[in-house]
Amino acid sequence: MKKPPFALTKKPGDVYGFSIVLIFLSLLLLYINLLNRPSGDLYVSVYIENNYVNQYSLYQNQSITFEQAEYPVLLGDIILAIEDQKIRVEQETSPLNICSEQGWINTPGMPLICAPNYFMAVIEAPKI
Amino acid sequence: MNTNSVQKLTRLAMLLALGVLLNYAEAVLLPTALIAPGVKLGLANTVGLIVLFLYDDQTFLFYGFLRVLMTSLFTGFGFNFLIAIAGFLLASLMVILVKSWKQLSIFGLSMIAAVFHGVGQIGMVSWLYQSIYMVNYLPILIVSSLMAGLVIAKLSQQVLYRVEKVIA
Repeated sequence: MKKPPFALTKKPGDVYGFSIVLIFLSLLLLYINLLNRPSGDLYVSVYIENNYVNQYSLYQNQSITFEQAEYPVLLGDIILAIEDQKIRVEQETSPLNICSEQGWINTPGMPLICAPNYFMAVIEAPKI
Repeated sequence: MNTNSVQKLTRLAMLLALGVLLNYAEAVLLPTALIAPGVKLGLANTVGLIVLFLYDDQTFLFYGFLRVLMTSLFTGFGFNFLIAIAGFLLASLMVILVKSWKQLSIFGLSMIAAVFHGVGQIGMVSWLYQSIYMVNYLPILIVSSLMAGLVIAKLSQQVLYRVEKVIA
């Protein structure tokens, strides 16, 4: 019988190997965030079906409606609210309403994704 | 084609069907995306680990590629396909790489696969949306991948204990 290519029971290498990977990924994440530190005024970029639609200032409270008539890929009208430098999807049509239940977000780079609508809003900033 | 290659082909075809079925069943029966987008158990990866244990690296890569391709027949060849293929490629290559180190068990390999599957997917999403900030979602995916990887490894281990002697 041929030698098994790897063990079926835990080995000490599992912990070492995984620790190395975790440290590497943490450093990579830190490096990317340091390299892309936001500077200047933040804004919200909106993408529908991977196409850039528009950007809106994060410092102006407003509600923006994206109409299904204009973007047929949407399952219904989507209302994006910007308030006190936070954003949320106020209204959308989808089976589980995940993105409207996500609530307010204010972290640059953390996307608000409405997958069934192919809609994404993300807070962005000019890079250093 | 001799008996062995017919036998191998038949077994791989059945494993592939099982992988596609598990992938589809999980999407329908265990919609873990409710916890957070992209978070899933990855039940089909149990079959991947079994293929890696029973066959060679090339077969493992070929099986994984076909599984992504066939699953996409159900889900479509849009964004999902690109994200899935990126996750599969990075995870598979990393698993093959660390397997050659010979210090990791099925648990380590499964965790590495799960984590790098998430890294590959996030990399592709970042590229598609042209936003490097997507990487900030990685910690959530890594923690969930770690747990999913352990569960998948345990399941694969138990299946392999039972089928190893029959198939070998």
